[in-house]
Amino acid sequence: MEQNNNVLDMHLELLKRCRKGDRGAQMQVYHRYYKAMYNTALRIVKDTFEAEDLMQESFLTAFDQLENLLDLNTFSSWLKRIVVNKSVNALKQRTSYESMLNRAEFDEPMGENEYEIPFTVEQVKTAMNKLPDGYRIVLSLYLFEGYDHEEIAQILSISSGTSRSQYNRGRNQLKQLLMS
Amino acid sequence: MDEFEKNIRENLADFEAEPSANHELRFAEKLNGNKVEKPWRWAALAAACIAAFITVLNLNQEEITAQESNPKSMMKLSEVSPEMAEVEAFYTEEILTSEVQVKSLTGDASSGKMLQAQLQFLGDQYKLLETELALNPGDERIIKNMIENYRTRLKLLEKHLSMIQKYQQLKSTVNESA
Repeated sequence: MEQNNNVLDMHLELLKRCRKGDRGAQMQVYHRYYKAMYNTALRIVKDTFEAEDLMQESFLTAFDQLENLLDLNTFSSWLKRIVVNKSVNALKQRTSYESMLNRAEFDEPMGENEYEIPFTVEQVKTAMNKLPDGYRIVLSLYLFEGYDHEEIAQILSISSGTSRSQYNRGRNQLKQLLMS
Repeated sequence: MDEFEKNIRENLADFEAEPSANHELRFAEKLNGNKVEKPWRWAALAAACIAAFITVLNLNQEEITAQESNPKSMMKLSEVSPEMAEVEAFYTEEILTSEVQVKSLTGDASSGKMLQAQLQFLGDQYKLLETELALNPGDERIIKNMIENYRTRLKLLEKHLSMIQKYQQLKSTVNESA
C-alpha cells in the first residue's frame, strides 16, 4: 500500500510539472499513455496516421488545459475523453453521424443458445473493421473504452436508448461476421 | 454481459497496436511547436512522380528483364558526361555515408523498416531509369529523374538521421530530468 501511494504521488508530481510546461515531464506522461490513447482513436477512425495525429493533438490539448483540471487523479479518464471527442469529430467531418446510425439490416434476434464463439484477436479486429461506422464506434466505446450508454449518449449526442439499440445490433452483426 | 463480451474485456491488451516508428519524436516536435513533416508522404510523392514518368516511357517488363541481364544495356549516369559523373559520385558517397551513420546509431532494424522499403523501391526505380537511359542516351528527362531519385534517397536518409539524433538527445534530457 505504501508503494502504491508513492507511485501515485510520483504520478501527481509528474502532472504538476506538466502543468508548468516541463517538457521532460510531458514526454514521460506521453510515454505512459500513448498506446492506450492511440488505440482508442484507431478504433474510431480506423486510419493509423490519422489516429496518431488525433492522439498527439489530444495530448497537446490536455497539457494546454491542464490547469483547468481540478482533480489530477482523473487525468487519464479526462485525457481519454478528449481523444474520443476529437476522434468522433474527425469522423463526423467525413460523414454525417446520422448516416452512420445504421438501419437494422441484420436485425435478427440471437437465439437463446449463444454458443461460446471461439475467436482470435485478429478475427475480432477484422470483423470490427467490417462493421459500419455507427455500430463500430458504439461497440468500441462500450466494449473497449468501458463507457456506459449514458456516457456514450453524451459523447455522440444521441439518446441512451439509441446507444443501446446500436450496441445490440452492432454486437449481433459482429457475432454473425465472426461465425461466418 | 455475456461470454463474448467478457472475453473481449478480459483480453483488451491483446488488441492494442503500436503507432508507427518514431511517433515519440514527432510528438516531441509538436510539443516544441514545430510543424511536423511526415517523411514517408513526401517521399512517396517523389517516388510516384518518377514512377509516372517511367510509365510514360512505356517500359515493357520483358524488355527490361532482357536488358537487365545484359549489363551493357544499362547506362549509368556517370557515362553521360564528366559533370554527371561528378554528380553521381557525390550522391553515391553521401548516401553511403548516411547509411553507415544510420546503422551505427540504430542497432535495431525495426525503426528503419519503412525507410528500407522506400530505399529499396527507389533503388529499383533507378535501375529502370538506367535501362531506359541506355535506350535513349542523353535524354534530359531521364537524367533529371535519375538525379531526382538520388536526391530523394539522400533526403530520406538525412531526415531519418536527424530524427534519430534528435530523439536520442531528447531521451538523455528526459533521463536527466526524471
